[in-house]
Amino acid sequence: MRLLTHNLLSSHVRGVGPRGFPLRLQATEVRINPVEFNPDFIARMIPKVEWAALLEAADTLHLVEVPKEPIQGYEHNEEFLRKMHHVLLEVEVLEGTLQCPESGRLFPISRGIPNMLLSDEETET
Amino acid sequence: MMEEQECDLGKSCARSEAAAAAQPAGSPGETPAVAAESPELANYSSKCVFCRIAAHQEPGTELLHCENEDLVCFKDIKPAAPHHYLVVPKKHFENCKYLKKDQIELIENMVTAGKAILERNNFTDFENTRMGFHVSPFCSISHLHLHVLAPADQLSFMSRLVYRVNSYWFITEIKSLLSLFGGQFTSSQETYGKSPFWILSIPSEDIARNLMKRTVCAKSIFELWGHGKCPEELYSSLKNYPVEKMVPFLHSGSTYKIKIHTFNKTLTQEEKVKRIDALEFLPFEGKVNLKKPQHVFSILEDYGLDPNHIPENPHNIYFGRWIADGQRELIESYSVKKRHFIGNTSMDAGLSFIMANHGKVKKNDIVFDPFVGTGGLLIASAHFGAYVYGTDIDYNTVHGLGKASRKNQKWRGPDENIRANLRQYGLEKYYLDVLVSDASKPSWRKGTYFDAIITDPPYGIRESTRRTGSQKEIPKGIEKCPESHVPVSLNYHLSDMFFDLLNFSAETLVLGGRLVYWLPVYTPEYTEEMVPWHPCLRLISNCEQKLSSHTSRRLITMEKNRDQYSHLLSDHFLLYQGHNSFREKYFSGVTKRIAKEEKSGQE
Repeated sequence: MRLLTHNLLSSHVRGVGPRGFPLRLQATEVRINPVEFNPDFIARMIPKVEWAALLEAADTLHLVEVPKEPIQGYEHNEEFLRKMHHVLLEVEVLEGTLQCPESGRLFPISRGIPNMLLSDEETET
Repeated sequence: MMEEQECDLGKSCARSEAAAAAQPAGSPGETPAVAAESPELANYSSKCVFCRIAAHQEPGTELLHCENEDLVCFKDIKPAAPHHYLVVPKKHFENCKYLKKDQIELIENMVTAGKAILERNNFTDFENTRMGFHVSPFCSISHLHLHVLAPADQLSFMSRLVYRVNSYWFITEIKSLLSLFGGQFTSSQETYGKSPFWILSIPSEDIARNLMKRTVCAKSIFELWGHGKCPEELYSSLKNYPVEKMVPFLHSGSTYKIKIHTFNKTLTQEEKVKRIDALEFLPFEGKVNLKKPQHVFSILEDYGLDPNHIPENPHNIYFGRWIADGQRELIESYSVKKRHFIGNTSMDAGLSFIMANHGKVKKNDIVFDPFVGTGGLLIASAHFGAYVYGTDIDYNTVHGLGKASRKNQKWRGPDENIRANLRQYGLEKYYLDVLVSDASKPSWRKGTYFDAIITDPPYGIRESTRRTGSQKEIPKGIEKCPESHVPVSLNYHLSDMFFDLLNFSAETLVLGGRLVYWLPVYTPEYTEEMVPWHPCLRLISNCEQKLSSHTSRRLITMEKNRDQYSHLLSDHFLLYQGHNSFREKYFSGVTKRIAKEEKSGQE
């Protein structure tokens, strides 16, 4: 699971609503996987990123050199975009858990794939 | 098999983007006398949206000020230019094909009103304006309406295909008046759907090339120099083609080659040579180069579609300069037969590319498939440069475990999962993530971040429709993280599924983003009203593919055109309810036959 994905996921446990974001990340196995750098794609993603959640997750994984916020003229700033590219796409959590911040419910990540399934009682109507 | 499917799709497709070639309408004639129509709301039809708008029955449409009492003006909901207005007579006239001489004054008034609207909105450069009517079958609404677009040079690319000057279905202000008095238009309308050849008019060669870089339906595109129903017609048509347009490709420094394609017939080498030689009258000055010519010309002969009745002479002959080929080889190179990881319902490669094209997938988009299965639809989007997400409720499919779908294979190998599929085609860099998730209970946070949602939801026949739900049989004391245990399997009613899908799309698509999905229908009961509807999504197209004698599926394409909406709490908007038992109805033909056979067996 990449950090870009973590940034888009939210808990849908019943009653939790928007307080289900962001999920608390816990990783037991992480892999750094180089991905071809595409500045245009990264630039497109910057406005969609919830920065606080990203920083929290990056911190949990002890990542360094994570930009604290988007900078002016980021679309043309290759250094900034490369750092974001690394954080968003090249760090993969292979084993770990995502935890709903409100209810505490755990969603497992195995083989890099999060399992978001809940039983009926647990989900929102 | 593939060809048949495409014919069906082509025939029943509600909308298309290309035009047929047109010849400019005749010269200005005399202006005949005109009788003005007295305004009455005759022919008012509450089913016609423009009648309703004119009668102030559509509060969502703001009527702009119009001096003429017989007309109303409003903005087009899908503007193709910074100024895009519609001028509509209150009285319900059918579209412009049915206009008579009596309506000339009406048309003139509409044009005047159009100019007035532009002036009132501070646009006075009437040279840079386009006004006209669409002609059936590319006319969206049959109540006569005049499009007013400005500035013309800012029309977007897609719109240019539809609104081109001199193109078949966009008649400009002057030409539309002239056409009422006998001006002729050539059209391939009669042959559309009946012939593999289609004449259309495109603004530039660049646009033609870009089109061909995406299409899997079109085989090749040629710059048409001449055509006819017999060789003589072809030759005279060629002689009429302006020489200055030919010369850049025929000059003495160039190299060329002439090919012949015959559709539905094979010619001997002699016959081919004869036909090429007959074109000697063309001013070819370059050298023939069969291996690597700069320019390739083609003679195309159409012998119809019936392989059992091949005519002596072709129905149509065309001659043109080859511009580009389509992407039909993708169907072969991405064929499911060669793919590492497949499932029972993996989408045919050609169809997956068509779906990606319907979804207007482009580089750097994010595309999502909520019923991803083995990822076939993601592959097509990734091929066009989009980054992809997928979810599926089935843990094994997402992880690539369990029984294989191939005939001689028992279990899935290590290389069989969605990521590996993308890797097989060199597209792994576009793989974002896949998740095990219930599409009816999505885990995405609030926001719009998908450019397209392209999916083939389960119909409940070869893969069951499921969603998570509690059941008494689930043992107590479930582990905190029910990992591979899927607490699943309430029947997911099809109508609920589409209700959820449309809602989810309206929430997470960017404005202008598209939803493309298959809708299974029980043909005897199908009506257009059954296509699921949502206030924020506009229906773009609805194309049928037959599955069996009484079932088909429809490729539905919708585009998000509105952000705010009041949450759909009830599904009374969905007339699709009747298809909950699609599974029953699909098998109804089978059960009837089995019952019949048993009966006859007993006799």
